[in-house]
Amino acid sequence: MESDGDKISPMARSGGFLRTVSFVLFLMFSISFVSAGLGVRPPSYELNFQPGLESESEFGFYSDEPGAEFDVLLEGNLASYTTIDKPRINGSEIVTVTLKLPQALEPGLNRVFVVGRQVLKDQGRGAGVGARVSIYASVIVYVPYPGKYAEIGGFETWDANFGEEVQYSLEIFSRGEDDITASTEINVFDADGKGVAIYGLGTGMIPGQESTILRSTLDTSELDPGNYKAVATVNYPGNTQDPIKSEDDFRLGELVFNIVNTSAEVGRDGIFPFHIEVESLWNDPVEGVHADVLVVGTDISFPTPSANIPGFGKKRLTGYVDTSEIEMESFQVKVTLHYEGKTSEKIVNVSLKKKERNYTLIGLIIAVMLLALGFIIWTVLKLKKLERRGKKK
Amino acid sequence: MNSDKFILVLAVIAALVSAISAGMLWGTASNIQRVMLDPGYADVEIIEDLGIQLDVDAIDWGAGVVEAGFSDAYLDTRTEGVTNWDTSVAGGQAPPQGDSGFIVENRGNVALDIRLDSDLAISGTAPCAGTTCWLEEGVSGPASLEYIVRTCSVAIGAEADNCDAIPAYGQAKHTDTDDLSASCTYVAPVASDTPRSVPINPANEHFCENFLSAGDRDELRIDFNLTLPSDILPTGGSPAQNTINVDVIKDDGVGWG
Repeated sequence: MESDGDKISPMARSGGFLRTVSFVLFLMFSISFVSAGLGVRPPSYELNFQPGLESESEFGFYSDEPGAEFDVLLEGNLASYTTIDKPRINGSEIVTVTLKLPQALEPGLNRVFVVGRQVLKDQGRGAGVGARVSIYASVIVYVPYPGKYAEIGGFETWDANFGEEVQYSLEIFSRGEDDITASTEINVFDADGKGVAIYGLGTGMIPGQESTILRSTLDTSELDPGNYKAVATVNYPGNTQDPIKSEDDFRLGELVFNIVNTSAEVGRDGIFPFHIEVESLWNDPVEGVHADVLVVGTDISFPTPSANIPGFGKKRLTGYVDTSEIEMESFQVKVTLHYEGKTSEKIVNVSLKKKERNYTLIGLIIAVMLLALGFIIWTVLKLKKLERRGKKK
Repeated sequence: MNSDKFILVLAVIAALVSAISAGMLWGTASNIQRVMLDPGYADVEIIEDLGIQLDVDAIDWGAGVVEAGFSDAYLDTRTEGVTNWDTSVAGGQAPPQGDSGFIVENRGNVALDIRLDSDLAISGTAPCAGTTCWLEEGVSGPASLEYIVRTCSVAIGAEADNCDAIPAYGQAKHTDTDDLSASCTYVAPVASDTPRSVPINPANEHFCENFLSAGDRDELRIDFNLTLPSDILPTGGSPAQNTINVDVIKDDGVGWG
């Protein structure tokens, strides 16, 4: 989008005074919005369905803005079965939600959202747009599916270093009326999508409407450092759904630091910062990472201070280069990164910033010259005039 | 003699009080002993907390008109500036310096999902239905309010903030100054570079999921650009302000779905 727009048409200009006044008036209307920290504790409850169940849940809505008001609203497919004890709260208050379930509901996830929505106030600030936050708490009711039905509630894997075991956590829900006997495995794929390992996690019984969490580690001693995808698959006799899968990525770290980026140009004739962005491929924090920088073909060099870099983290190291003795417009710089007794090197091209013309000084000199010229011309003309007068006399 | 009796009674009373006190002390001490001898345990339950803070929750573009000779004014929080926006007219009001987009912070202990929408249509054809339109479309065309969300690998405020290189208006940026990791997973199609119109309620855009609560990765910024054609008008009966609704829910893999 260009900053200078096209000239407007006469038609667009028409309307003149009234439109201008209207628009200015529009923007002078004042609005303000409550700026506050707000939230709810806890954000959700989960229940298993029972016909005609009556349940009470308490949500503690809070705000650190004294006098901030919130409308409490109900949304979701269970809203018609739900009541709240207060439709509006002031500051921090507890809202009691009463849920009276019917005799039957659709199998699966049903819920009611209990929404705390900011009430906007007019406090005389400038105009524009404002934000209104709505905090969504919820009561979730799981209605059992007929027969057997499994879901994966969550699957996580954690980064590790090359040769170490990778931790995982897998939560399996039995959402059906009947118990299931689930057998589980984790397939690991490399960055190219090629399967590289399969881990059987065994078989176990999960009663209907209950869950189990599997937590253990994967032996990755056969895997190279790199990025991987783990896919958990749950099977059970009588499964009528698609295969139940969930995936997560993990990395196996290698004690290597990459020089990701460096300053492409620096100022001339002075001391200037030179940035080096480094990236860790190691899962653990590394202390004392620093770089030595050499301007190739010269004896100009400088170090950077040491930095601590978190696992798989990035950080910028900054050193200072003296360019007063560099005469080349562009040159090469060798960056040597030191970490844990190892080094990484990279040679990069750097150029000096283009010389900037001082237009103010040039303009000033021209102005002075013009003034001087004008003064000389004026003086000459004056002298000639005096000379002519002298001759007449 | 009377004096001896008095002393005797006093001594009996003193003995009784001492005995009662000793009994009470023994009871208390045995309780303490039981507490000390019982095996100890600690029971801590962490309550989940969905909490959010809007450090900047209103954008003030002041009062003015589109500068004479230009077709549009651009009110852009990304650059914290306005272009072709004349506030020197009678009734004009310069916008405050440094007004930025919304800065949202996750202050709780659970990851969040965020979506947004607008209360009012940004622009409509005259006569605009006053209850749904914010601005009335002129001959030159409609106004627009747009945003982009995307992850910047270099934090705003840091040197060489690479968000500044994005050739469009409006974006979500991380305000971290040290950790260069992302704090939010942006939901397609929002993650593209294409500017997104703010959807009108009840439509909405779920743009961020798994917004972390980790200390150094718990802020994001949503910037907006309002483009105003020269002959745009506020709608007659509508409110002057427009509200962006920011809805927040715990990221539990279900969200609003």
